[in-house]
Amino acid sequence: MTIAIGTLYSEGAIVCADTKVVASDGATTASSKVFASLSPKGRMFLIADAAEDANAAKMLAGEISYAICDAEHPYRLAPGIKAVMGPWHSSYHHIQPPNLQFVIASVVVGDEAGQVFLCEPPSTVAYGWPIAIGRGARAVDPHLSILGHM
Amino acid sequence: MHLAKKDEGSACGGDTYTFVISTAGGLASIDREEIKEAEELAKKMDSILISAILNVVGGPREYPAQAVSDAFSAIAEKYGQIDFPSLKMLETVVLPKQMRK
Repeated sequence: MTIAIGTLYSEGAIVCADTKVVASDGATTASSKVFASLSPKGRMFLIADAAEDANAAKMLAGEISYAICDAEHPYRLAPGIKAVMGPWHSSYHHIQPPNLQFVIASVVVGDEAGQVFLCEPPSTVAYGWPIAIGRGARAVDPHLSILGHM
Repeated sequence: MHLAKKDEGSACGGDTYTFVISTAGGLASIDREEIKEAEELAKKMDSILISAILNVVGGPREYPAQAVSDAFSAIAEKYGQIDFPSLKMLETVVLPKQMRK
């Protein structure tokens, strides 16, 4: 279940993640968990996922990407993200949805600073940086403050 | 990343993919080999810090305090010299400001 870290630096944002994917039967493969998204509105996003279900994570990350690229205000992205995550979570009805977390970094070209936030369905969108997600987060959490001085 | 891969190895591992975006409109992906080198350095630093902690708490002393101190200084210097040449890509603007609506 991944380690992914998102943080800001003086001129933008950084997101990194490992590539190990562990299937429910224990089989492991390698795959990218970070992707970039550019919007004609001059916004750049990096999204990394930590998930029990890699396919669900990719799909939902894609929908979140569309939502934030189209958001009316570049610094008020939470409503759009919640509007995508809520229905996805509800679609599982009586089944427990897979655990998913995202770290999203956003930059508006020409502005002074970016923003980083953690998202978790159905409706958690927490701003702040640096952020670590996935099972590896507990190993790095005590050291994250180092990145806060970048 | 090294700590997560070490402590939670059943869930974390493989390469590290790192992407950087800038407010100038640049986008860069750091080369995997460059990240690997940085993680190797982190591995050595982690090992030295563990030795230092063992010295402080009175655990089995694998190395004398001066050796730990010297090793720490050497690694700290290497950290200062660390470089990611692939970050040059950030200078190429992929999303110019003029596109902003």
